[in-house]
Amino acid sequence: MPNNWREAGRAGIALAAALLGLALLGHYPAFAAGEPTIYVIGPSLTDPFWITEQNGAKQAGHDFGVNVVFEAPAQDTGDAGMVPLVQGAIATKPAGIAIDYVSKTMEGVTSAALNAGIPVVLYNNDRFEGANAPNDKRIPGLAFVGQDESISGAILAKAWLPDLPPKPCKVLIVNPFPTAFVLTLRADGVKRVLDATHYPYADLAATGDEGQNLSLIGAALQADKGICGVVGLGDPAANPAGRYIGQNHLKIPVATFDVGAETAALIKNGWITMAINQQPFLQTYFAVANLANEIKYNLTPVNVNTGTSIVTDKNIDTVQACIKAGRC
Amino acid sequence: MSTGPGAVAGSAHDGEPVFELRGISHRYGRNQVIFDVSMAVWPGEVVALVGDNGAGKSTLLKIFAGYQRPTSGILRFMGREVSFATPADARGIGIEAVYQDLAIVDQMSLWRNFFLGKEMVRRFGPLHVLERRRMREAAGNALAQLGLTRIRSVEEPVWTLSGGERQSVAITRAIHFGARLLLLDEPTAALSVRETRNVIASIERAREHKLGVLYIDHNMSHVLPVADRIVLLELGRVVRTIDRGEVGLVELQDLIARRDNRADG
Amino acid sequence: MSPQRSANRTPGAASLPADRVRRLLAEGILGIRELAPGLGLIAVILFFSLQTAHFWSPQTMTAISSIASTIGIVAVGVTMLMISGEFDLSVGQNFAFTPIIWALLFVTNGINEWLALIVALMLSCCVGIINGFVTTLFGIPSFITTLGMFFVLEGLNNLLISGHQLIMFDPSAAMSLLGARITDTPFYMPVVWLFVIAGIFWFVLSHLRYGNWTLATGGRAGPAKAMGVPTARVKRTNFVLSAFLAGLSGCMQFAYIRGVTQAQGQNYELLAITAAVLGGTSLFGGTGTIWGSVIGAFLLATIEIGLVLIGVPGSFYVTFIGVILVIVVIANVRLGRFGSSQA
Repeated sequence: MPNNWREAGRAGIALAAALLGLALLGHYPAFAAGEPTIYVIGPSLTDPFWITEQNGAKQAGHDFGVNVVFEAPAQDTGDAGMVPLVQGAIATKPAGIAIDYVSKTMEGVTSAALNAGIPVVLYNNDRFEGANAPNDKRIPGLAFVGQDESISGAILAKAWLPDLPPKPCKVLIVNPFPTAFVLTLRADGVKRVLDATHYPYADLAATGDEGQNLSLIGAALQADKGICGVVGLGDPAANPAGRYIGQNHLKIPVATFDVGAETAALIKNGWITMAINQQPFLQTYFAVANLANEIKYNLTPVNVNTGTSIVTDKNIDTVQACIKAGRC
Repeated sequence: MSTGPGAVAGSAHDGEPVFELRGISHRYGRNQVIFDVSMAVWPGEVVALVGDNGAGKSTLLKIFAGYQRPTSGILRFMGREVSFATPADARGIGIEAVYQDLAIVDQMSLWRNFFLGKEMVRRFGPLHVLERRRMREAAGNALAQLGLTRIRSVEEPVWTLSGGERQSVAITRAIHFGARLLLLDEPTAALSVRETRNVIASIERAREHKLGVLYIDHNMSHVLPVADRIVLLELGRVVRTIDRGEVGLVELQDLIARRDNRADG
Repeated sequence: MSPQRSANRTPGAASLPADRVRRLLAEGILGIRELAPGLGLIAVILFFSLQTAHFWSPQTMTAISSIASTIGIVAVGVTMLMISGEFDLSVGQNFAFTPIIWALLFVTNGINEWLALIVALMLSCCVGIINGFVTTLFGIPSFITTLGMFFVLEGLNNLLISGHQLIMFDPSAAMSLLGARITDTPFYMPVVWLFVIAGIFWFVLSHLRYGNWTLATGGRAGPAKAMGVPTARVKRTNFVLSAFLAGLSGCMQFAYIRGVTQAQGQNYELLAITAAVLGGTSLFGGTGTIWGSVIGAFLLATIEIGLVLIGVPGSFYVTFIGVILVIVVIANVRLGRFGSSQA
């Protein structure tokens, strides 16, 4: 039976490959002995914002003497991707779990964690408004570390308004990850303020790649000369906007969310006007701190509002020092 | 008794030919490849279609098989005029073709290949459920009659068979499905001597079953022992029809070569 | 078996036990084709069971089964299409598109949930119909056609839902049917649907004439057509199957999580193909196994959750899957699994 021998051979190779790969993985130094483990579940591995969140989690693990495991799906599928990862975390009965409560879809796993007796802290988002109101009464009482995306947008827009021309004119809102609905929350906050002050706006769906965005934004600005301001919903959108505007000597103010090294440099030379720093580093840092203190010393977790830090050229130098330390 | 180009030999046969082409012409786009070809194949007769590359042999075979619709001309099957919309129509009336790439699907098992396009099914409403046991048995029996002892099981995928075995399976399939006309495209190409003998034996078995056989071949030493009639095609036209025993191998090869030389000089 | 003995026995006779075993191995539910991925899955499960005491907990079962069922249902459709020789890169976007339509109709606009579901599923079939016709009528490689459809659906999804999320937490019979918990177990309806759908299509592939046609169309389309198989029609049907199952799976995820965004299903086109290939389906068409794709989906899910259980960061998962995939394809090609020329 030459055919079946072939099949058996293939089975053997597959088996050997799987075992070898797993054996290599098995040597991964996951857990330091004796230290409690805390899971932090996020939506994205590649978004710069979330890389900073990972840094915060790691630093907190180091500072507070706990194992921190940051898990996110390979592709940013939002809550759909996070739910099974939280379930996996619950299965290990960890010392605590930090959950990004983006909407009521996260209620099920949050309740499950609480039912399993695992301490839970919410971070980055806790949206309980309207249809998102949780049925589980314990959830609104959980500590929250972060700043709601929908609030941050409004705060940024209000702070930025003085930089815009006093006569209402069009604002371009650029979204680097159209599928990430938390960015839409940021946009919604901005739009609420613009609506209230009667500034019209237009949406531009961009990509996570700054090179492409440079062309997209340039084209949009050339097509509509009436645009008097640009809001980037994240650095991959704001940085190319700032560079295009600066290189072409346009007088268009740019506002953005989050501040990385490149954004800071652009603020310093005036090409980006203003950024709101939601301090992603602090979100996971204090979330882990909360859980570590609870498990070790029975201290009750506390709310921490990490937002409302507005960055302009006036305070950019200190912010740059923070970025260099990997904490912004 | 040899005949000139275009004429269909009638006196040596009785009854209707299995299949007949009358005045067939074919064009691919603006390129005419077949010019007014008339020929026929009788039951129990083996006809070889020979000629150089580009003579139109494959196209003619495809027209016979319903794979290609001729741009003009008449097809007649058992005395009745027919036309084929798809190869399935041709298969439906008993024309089975074995192409150079064998119309065999390598990755599938023998019994699935054997009944491809003619699966034995039991209908449950819109579902056609395969009668697998019956098909396995039938395929196995047909192959046993062929003497293919090397094949242990009809479950084996066909790519495990040698070229000659695959050819024989395809021919056996054609005979099994009650073919009246068997069409073969270069059946002995790239086969060993022993395998070629097997294929020729299959062709002779087809003849014994009173099938008409039309096949294309390049190798004159394979053609001569088997063919009852040889039709020589050149640039889309029938230039000569030769009966069995009329010419020897060397003369036949000269004929074809001379045809080529005539074009040069 | 010596030639003399076999000459006395026809190759197709059903009598001997060796033959029956051979037949079951070739085309039974768990036959020789599923041996390799099945062993791989067992090895992975064993590994994680030994590494962590928490592998067999209910939450792990829930997590693994939910991931496996969403990928698996998509993979079944993609497998049928791959066996007939084509690819569908639009399944990931269709996975979001269909529940978005469903939710827009019945959550936002108050249309009857069953009617809305039927409309949404019909639209997802339309996606498949378009894919099928463009590929077969114009002879464009399915890779390109479905890639184009990917971008079309991506744009449509953005237009329809503009980055927002639609949620639905009121009781809903349709959502329960698709995504509710099976009482007293850690499993939810999508797992049941996965096995039902896989069972149906396993039957189609091995026991229906249409299955034979699918295998032949993917194996060698020319010969299949010459033997009278309506190859274009087979491919078009499989495009519809692929799109429909992707859309259905997306609706199940909406029913399970109770929310839908356009981000759901990203990368699923590649994950579904990966599950199919890991399960033993050929990239070149003509051979494949439905249950293998189910095993492949469970493999992906088990590895993803298993890595979470032992505390390995998420990036390892994708790298690991990538390496395994390449090894499996190399092994398949080297062992001549896929056809004559490599034999």
